[in-house]
Amino acid sequence: MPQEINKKMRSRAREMLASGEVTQVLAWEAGEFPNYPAPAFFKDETACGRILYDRFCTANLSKFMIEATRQTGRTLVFLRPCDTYALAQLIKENQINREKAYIIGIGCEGNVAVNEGEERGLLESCRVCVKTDYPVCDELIGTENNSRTVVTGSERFEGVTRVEETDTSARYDFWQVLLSRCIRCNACRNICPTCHCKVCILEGENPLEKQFFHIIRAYHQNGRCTDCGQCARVCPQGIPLQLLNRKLIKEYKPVEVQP
Amino acid sequence: MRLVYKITNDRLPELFARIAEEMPLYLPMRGEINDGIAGVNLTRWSGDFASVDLQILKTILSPKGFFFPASEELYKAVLKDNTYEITPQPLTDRPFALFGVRACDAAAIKILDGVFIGEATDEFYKARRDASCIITLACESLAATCFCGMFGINPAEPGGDVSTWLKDNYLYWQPQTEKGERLTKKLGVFMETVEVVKTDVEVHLYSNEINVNDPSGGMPNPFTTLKKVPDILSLFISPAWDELHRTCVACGTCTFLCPTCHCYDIADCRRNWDACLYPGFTQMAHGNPRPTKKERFRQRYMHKLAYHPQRHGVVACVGCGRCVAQCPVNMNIVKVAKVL
Repeated sequence: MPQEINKKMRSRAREMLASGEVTQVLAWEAGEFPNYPAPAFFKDETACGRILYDRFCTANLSKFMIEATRQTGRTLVFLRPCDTYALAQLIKENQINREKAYIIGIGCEGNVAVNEGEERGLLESCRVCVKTDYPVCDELIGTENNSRTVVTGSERFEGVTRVEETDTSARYDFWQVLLSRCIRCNACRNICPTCHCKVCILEGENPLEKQFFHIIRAYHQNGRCTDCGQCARVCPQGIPLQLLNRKLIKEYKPVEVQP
Repeated sequence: MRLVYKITNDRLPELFARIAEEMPLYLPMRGEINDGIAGVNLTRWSGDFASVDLQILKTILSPKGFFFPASEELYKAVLKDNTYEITPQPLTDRPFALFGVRACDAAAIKILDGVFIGEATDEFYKARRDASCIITLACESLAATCFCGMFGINPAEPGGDVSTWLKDNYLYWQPQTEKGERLTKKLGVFMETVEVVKTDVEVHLYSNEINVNDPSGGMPNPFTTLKKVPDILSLFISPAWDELHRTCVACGTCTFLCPTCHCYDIADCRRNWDACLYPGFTQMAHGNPRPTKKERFRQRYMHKLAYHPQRHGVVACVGCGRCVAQCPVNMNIVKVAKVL
């Protein structure tokens, strides 16, 4: 399936660049190492043959659209359901100029984790994915099989419930152990589509204050996090950061503010 | 010629316990699991042999933190009678051993030595280096993201203070330096029970078996090619940076995991790892000389590929592949070197 989608992505990118509808295309291309594809901008239709889409394309392209839509011209971007949720959030927060984005929603059967070039099963975020639709998009390619990895609500919060069921001190220890592994590399923050502050409030803070960093970050994402799971995916130390965000998603109830 | 000792694999727990009696021993041990990928890091020997992973080629974190910690207190400042009393932190003199360091990481430690123990010596770093005994382990195979061969590093001859290699149910042990000899002697009676191989021919049996990965895609080694670039300025002003930096998220994961990245910031008596990719790194009162991600991204790769070779004669990369394996967006130094 991804090969079919990939073919269509290449031809649509070529068409749109040729017709001048867009000035650049944001997609993925093969990396230097097998199964490590990287996000890439394509400006030339002859380069579009390099556009790659497979289950190893794990990076969410939405955040790159902040910079892309601040340039002159329009950008074509290929997004999966979870990516479009992130993009919709960014549009809502006035980070992306919708006029300057042409969004093609592409089918997704879930991404896989990779370890030394080898597949290691579905990503945690894909295993509990609840998104099949595209809240913001101009066109769709190959979306027939989207429902395959989608689970029910309770399954999504299983991890959270497991932690909730333990008592306070066990919960404290759980996070203490996990967060002590953090090296403050900021991968979670910088890959997060909704972490787009120009200067992070925790920039240059004491790197020893890891718990502080993660709690502040989670609260700042409250009501904005689209649960794309990128933070947990990129953590080099394997900290299950999605649990913090998902706990807040579980508890979060939007309040209607009367004018 | 130094003696080679050999010990059967089932006696490894005894060996580790014996080393740990002499000094704290750190070796690759599995951590907890998330998404099915177990993080292996150099962890203090606890007697739990089942968690020891001697197959893993790269620990998540490089050994650099043992010499150059992520955060350390350099001095204490106490306000007394309106003046500050400054007391430097005592230097470490407690010996420790690292087991299972691979050839790439051992080469990286040499690169760090060139920076911290050079024209000006960093006392804190040097004290830890002097206290350390590095026991390396030869690689039996390469991982998908390994490219040490591009820097002429032989993964089968890892160097260090003691080199070890696993073969046919034995661990072979060969001291490489005086420090390594001293540790071997300290193990004394224990090592005497171990079989001594009279020649070191078997060391070299390994080196023929490994085919080094070549991610250059049939092109000439980009790192060697870069070294031939006549002037640094032409690299600096290359238009390639305009596109290259765009898909970098500037998180700094590569710098923290890199075994040779060594930039830091000193704040309030503490020295902390810092990264050239962060806007705060070069922030000064007047502003920032590297105002955007492009300049910061360029700095990281120029430092590794041009400035460091110019000053120290070696590319500040050993091909461990941690940046490849862990980059959130699969940006990496090979890509940059190829484009340039």
